[in-house]
Amino acid sequence: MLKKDLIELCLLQILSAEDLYGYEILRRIHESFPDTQESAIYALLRGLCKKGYTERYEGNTSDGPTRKYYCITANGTAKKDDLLHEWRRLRNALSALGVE
Amino acid sequence: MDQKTYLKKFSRVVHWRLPKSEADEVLADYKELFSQCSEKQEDMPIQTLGEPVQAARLLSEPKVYHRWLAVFGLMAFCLLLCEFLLLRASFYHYPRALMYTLLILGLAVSLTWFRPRHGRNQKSPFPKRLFPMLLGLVTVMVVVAVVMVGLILQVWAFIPFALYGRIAHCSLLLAGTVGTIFGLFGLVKARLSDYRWCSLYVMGFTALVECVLLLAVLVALDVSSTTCLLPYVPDFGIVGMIGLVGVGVSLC
Repeated sequence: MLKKDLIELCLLQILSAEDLYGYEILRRIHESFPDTQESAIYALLRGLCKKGYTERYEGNTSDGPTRKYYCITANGTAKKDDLLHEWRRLRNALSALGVE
Repeated sequence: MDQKTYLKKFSRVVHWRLPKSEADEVLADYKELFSQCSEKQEDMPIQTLGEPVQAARLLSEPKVYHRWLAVFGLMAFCLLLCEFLLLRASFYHYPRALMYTLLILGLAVSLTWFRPRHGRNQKSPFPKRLFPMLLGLVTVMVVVAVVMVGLILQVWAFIPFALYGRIAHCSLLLAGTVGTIFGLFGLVKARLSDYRWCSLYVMGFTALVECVLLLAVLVALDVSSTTCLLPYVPDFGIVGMIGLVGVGVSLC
């Protein structure tokens, strides 16, 4: 499992909790992965959208312009479960080897 | 680097690497990101976004980008091969078949690649600098045509006959090279800003092919009699017509 997959998992995880707009997603992920550039996170988010794991829609804000919100799709939820399963398997494998 | 400079640089790179519709979408997203930062009274540090070139590279699919590079290479190759023949100015035979093949191949590929995607995008305003550049190229061609006709008909008595060949060669070299430069510029602009810039490639290529054909005739023949040029006149007309149709199609 690569770092890319971990970030994808995080993206799908935060979108499964609530719909978010681009900047907010980048900000949250960048907080957890400060050494990853936001353009790379955006590229992954866009990749997920192109593969149909997430969708975009225009949402209104109370006092500002419209924003593009991202939401997770059914395929995205399935992908998140796969990545989560893979992550747990890897974590257990590392634990078994004594890597904490 | 401030946001404006970043976006300008990013726009150029992203339009080069991604298909236009995708590039416009990405650029709109980046503008939105910057505007959302401003709303939150924050400055999006440019360093967290990475260099524009690197950011664009992350967004492009290698397969799609390599396909574009191959198409660009093919279109540029057709043009540059003609330019090479013009610069070499040495013909073993009249290159009719080669010129038609290169012209039709270059035009077909460019018109196919830069065809408008109806329904995807609203038609953008006509590019400002395109019309003056097309007009400039036509002017160069007309001037060269007048010079060539004048030389062939020997209407300028003040020019020593010994210089006729050199003047003809230089005129064709100049016009053809201008066509090549405009053609390459049109190709790049068609990718970066508007598909209608492809018309400059078409016109530049047509001008170049006309110059190569005429140079080949002049090099190969004894043109002491103007009638010896007559069998080749239809070729110039056909190439011109192909170019005109191509320009019309690319502007639609």
